[in-house]
Amino acid sequence: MVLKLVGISVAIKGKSILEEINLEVKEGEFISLLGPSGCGKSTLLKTIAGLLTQQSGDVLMGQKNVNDLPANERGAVIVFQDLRLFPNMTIAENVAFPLKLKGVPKAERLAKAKELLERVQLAGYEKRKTSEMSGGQLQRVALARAMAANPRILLLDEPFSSLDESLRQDMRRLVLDLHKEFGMTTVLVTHDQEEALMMSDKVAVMMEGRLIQYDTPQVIYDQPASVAVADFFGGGNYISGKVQGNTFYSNQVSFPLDKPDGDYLALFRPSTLGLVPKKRGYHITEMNYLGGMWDLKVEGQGRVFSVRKVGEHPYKIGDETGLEFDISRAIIFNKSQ
Amino acid sequence: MKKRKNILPKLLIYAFIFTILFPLALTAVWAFVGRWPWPRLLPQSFSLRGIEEIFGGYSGAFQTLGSSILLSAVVAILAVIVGTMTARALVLYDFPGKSLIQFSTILPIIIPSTVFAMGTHVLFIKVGLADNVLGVIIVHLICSLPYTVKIMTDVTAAFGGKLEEQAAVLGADSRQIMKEVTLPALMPGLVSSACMAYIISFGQYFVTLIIGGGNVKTFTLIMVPYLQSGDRIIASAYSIVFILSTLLVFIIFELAVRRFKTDENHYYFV
Amino acid sequence: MSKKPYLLLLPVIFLSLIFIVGILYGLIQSFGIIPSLGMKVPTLKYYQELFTRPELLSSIGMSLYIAFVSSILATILGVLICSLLVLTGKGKGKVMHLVKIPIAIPHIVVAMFVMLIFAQSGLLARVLFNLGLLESPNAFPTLLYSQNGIGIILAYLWKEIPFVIFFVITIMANINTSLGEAAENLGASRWRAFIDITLPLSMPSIKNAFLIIFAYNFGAYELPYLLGATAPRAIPVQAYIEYIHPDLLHRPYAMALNGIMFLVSFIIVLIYHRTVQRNPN
Repeated sequence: MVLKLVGISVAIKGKSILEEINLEVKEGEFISLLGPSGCGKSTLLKTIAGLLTQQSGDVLMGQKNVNDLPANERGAVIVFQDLRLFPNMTIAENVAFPLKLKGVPKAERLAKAKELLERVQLAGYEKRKTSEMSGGQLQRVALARAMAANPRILLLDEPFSSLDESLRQDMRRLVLDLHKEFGMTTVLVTHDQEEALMMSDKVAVMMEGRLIQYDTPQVIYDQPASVAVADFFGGGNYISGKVQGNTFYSNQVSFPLDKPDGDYLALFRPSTLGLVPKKRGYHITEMNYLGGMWDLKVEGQGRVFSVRKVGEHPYKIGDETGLEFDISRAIIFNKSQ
Repeated sequence: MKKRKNILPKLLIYAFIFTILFPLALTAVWAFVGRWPWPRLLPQSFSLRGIEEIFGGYSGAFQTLGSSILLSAVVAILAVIVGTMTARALVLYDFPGKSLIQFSTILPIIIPSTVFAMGTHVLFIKVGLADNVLGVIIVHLICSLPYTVKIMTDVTAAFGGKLEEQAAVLGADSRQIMKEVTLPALMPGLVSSACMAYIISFGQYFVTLIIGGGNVKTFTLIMVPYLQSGDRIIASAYSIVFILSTLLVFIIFELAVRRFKTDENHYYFV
Repeated sequence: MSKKPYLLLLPVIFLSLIFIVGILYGLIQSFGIIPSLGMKVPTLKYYQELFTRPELLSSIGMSLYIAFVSSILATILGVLICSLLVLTGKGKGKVMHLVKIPIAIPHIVVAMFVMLIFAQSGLLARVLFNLGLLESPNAFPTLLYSQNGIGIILAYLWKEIPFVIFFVITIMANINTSLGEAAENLGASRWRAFIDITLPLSMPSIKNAFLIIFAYNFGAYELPYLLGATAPRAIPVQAYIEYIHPDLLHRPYAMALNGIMFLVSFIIVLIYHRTVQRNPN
């Protein structure tokens, strides 16, 4: 099901939360809404599902405007961060709940629930209560229940954030498998940039109620639309400079750049800087081990640069060195913008 | 030294529990006393005079007990309904005047019922609600609402419409949400607020006296003269019947909703 | 915004209006306005007289005395026992079920408990007599129907110590487990942590419990009526006597006494509401 948002603005208690959001998700696509907490991504999810009403703009599913369709008729199912399993029902009854709503006979819906529980590797847990399950298991139940509703659009609201790392990996795998198997259009809300890059066909970066950039993970990472987006993906070393006659000039580095004259900012991510042992001008002041790689802080010309070194290296604190810039991977921002 | 430190708090707690239970036990004994003259520490003889007075038929106490229970049950049910509605509005919505409503729901706890009863009596005489059951039900309802609103607000806030949102996106319409989600989630709160409202209504004396004007007889109302006359046996019998009937009603409330009952500690939000 | 909250609030608004209008009716009469009796000119006469008629003035004194002594004692003892329950970890399960019992038992039954135990021929006097500490029932101090109001105060304590515990224990237990642990971890002893952290943070709750029982004990009719002295009477009892006086001209005195109770309790409501708004939960 194609999902299209046109000029969505939402205000809660008179406070503007979302402003003019435009977004299109193609049939069967998996996208992520990425942004810091409080940027309005969960609000957007609720607006899509029909739990909140937008002040202006349209929600379209298929080619149909669903503005006036109540939440229970939209077929956009949310898996909430806090799961919201029904405490008065067993695990199987929870999963069977959407089918019960459709009037599916008891035996049939419980059989279907059993099947879905098997699919999320919870065979044999049908009769349990929610209070008898671990956090990771409950995640799977919530996911199975959402699948039982046969969603046209699946909305995942930071469903993995309360899990520890290994469980989170498992759940990501499971969600991707289910997505591949059932092919429903999926929107994942997350504040974890790695998760967004890893899982999605496209990433929508949101900040302060606005959609800043919507593109494939590669483009978002390599060509961030603004300094704020770049910073959200870890930022790096910013170098102020000028472009004159198709060349970028700065104190540290100069290189040809096909841009109109003016003030620019060049971003070199830590992985695009290299140390040149034979050269001089910079000192190593700090070394932090990141597991399989090192983050080295290098000081020179009145400022500090961050350099990523994969694997072991011969340096120690106090060494003098030179710095080289991989200019092909520089990210350029126009300062006047 | 260290050991004594541990014993003293426990001793105090047991003493406290004793002071709660002792009067109840003493009353239970007095209800069956025949004679217990000064200065004996134990009753001289036992009898069923007190119990017969209530259940014997000629005093009308038993009928009054029945109608009193009915009256308080009606108040309890109404209080739960109104309390639930109010709590929903206060928890799930934001609207102008919210603070004023919150303020006015606590008023009846603190403004003495004496003040409220006399003024309301004057008002009720004008509108024809004085000296009848409807008027009494209304004032009992007012007295119990602060409690039911408080309990229901807590319960409603505990799941705060979240399960309802979940049910809606899973495809439940408003009727299904009510039946499958809201009622079961509220159930523990419904029972405790029903019990609370019942207690407040059933134990109410002054307000019933004024608004009922003698036309509405409740169990409390017919019990007080025995207290004043100092007939300890009958007063004790009344008290015991009062307490036991309350317990019975609580059990009935509990059973009536048993099939919906959920384990209240287990709202599952991770 | 939708109309839904207002629809849900309709019954409570209706009942609140009855409550408020009822109180207003009483207040209006306290200013001597009873049109049906031809009294139409507002006057402060009845309030002034309250403060000149000695028996009415002593009623106010009596009510304040009972309310202060009983609610301060109930609060202190309640908080003390509550602290013990929290610190010994007994604040759950069976003990709490027992604590709820007095809350469910009405004041008139409690009045009878007090009579059975503390009357001059009550159980306590009998025990003292049999121990040879008392010569006759008359030698036992009069606790009931007396100006010292001890019978009333004892009855309030029986009901309200558990009320204070019930009102305070949840928040106190929560604070003690979370912040108390943190304080202990920083090196405070259990008692230190309790006194320095848990108790001050439970204060808003304790204050509210005190306000509720003070207002109740100041304005309630039942116990002073059943256990109180005939002179001076507590305000509610005196007000009721004035109210049912065959001469309707006494009505404004009743309402003026109510007016005083209203004023005191309204101040309490305002303080209470402010504490609640400032410390939600």
